[in-house]
Amino acid sequence: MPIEAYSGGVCSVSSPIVEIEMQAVGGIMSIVLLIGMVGIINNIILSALERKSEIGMMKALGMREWEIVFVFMVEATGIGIFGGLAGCLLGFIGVSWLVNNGLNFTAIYGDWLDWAEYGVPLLDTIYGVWNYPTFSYVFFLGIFVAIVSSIIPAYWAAHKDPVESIYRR
Amino acid sequence: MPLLELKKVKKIYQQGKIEVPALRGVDLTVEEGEFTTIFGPSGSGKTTLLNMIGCLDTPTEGEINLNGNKISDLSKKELAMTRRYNIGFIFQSYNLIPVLTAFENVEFAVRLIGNLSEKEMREKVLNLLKEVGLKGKENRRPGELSGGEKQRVAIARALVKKPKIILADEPTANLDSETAQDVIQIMIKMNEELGTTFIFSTHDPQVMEKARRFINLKDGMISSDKRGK
Ligand SMILES: Nc1ncnc2c1ncn2[C@@H]1O[C@H](COP(=O)(O)OP(=O)(O)OP(=O)(O)O)[C@@H](O)[C@H]1O
Ligand SMILES: [Mg+2]
Repeated sequence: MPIEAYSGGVCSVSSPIVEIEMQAVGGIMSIVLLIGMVGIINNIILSALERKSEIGMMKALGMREWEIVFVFMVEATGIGIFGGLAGCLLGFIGVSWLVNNGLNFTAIYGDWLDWAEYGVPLLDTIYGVWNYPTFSYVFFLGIFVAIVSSIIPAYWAAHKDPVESIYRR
Repeated sequence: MPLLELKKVKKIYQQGKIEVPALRGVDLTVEEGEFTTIFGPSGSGKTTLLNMIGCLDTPTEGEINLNGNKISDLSKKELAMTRRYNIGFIFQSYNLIPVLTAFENVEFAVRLIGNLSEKEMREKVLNLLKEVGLKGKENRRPGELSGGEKQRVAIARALVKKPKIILADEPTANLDSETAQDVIQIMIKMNEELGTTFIFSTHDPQVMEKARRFINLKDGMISSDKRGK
């Protein structure tokens, strides 16, 4: 019974097909999240680089390194919340569209290919499904990643020699 | 006891295998309330000297006493605290925080001291901005201010915490000569009104002559130290 390999046993009513689907969705989700994380980290590193002389000035004003890191973390939190809200809004629009209109594959493949004939249980049109937990999960994960990934570049920038940061030598 | 005292201060920068001596034994005493200029050719060590005094950098050799503390052997944290409470900086490139308004830039500095109520802080910042001639421009961001105006914000930011000493490295180098005069006049006014000690470096003879003490630096050493009127 090779099909049993797919049942994780978490959800007793789930059919093997649903299990496969869940794994695929999980996989796609992780890739999307990874791309998002790289984007966030990239942004924060660039902003730390760009603001080298600003950070130097903060040091000249007598701010401690952890205080500067804190400023960056607060900023990252703000950006994370904003980005998360914007992302959820876009996701909301996208999913509503998929739920209501669906994605019509006949537009891509044309009529000549009937998936069902080959035993693939696909309809002409794929419809979206609402998955609210994913929205909140991704939202909070985004904020968390933004905060955590701000720490290292912020520390690196705050740790730099103030003279070098101010005079851009 | 003098406010500032340097004894045989040396600074040697290491560039790869080459040693670059930037300061080669500087002895200097500055009393509270002095208005001093440091001048000399490019590369003579003016910036290096100001950075040592300002606790942004530490000497390779020698001793610096500021306000009774031997700063040449303070820890990183203690250096930051000395900067926070006792030293104000003005730089050639203003170094304001671009996303903050003039008011917020000055407020930022006084907030770090944290001994005033919100209302007191607000009054103090507004008053100081008025003193440096920025009344009505409190809510502009640095991008909406001229060079001279930006430097006025920087002066207010340096003064707001009532530091013992203000260090200005070529504060007028990016300004035209007329604006440079305005800025130096504000520094003089603040020195006279608040008694804050100023040390500034400059290449501009017209700015230099406004000082009351003239320290000439050559090849990392003081070659002359004169007092004016
Ligand atoms: N971080 C550094 N690494 C290596 N050498 C340095 C460094 N900073 C300064 N120097 C050298 O130390 C000497 C003094 O430099 P400093 O910047 O103090 O001169 P300055 O009098 O301020 O000159 P300027 O009028 O051009 O601003 C110069 O020879 C300079 O090349
Ligand atoms: Mg210099």
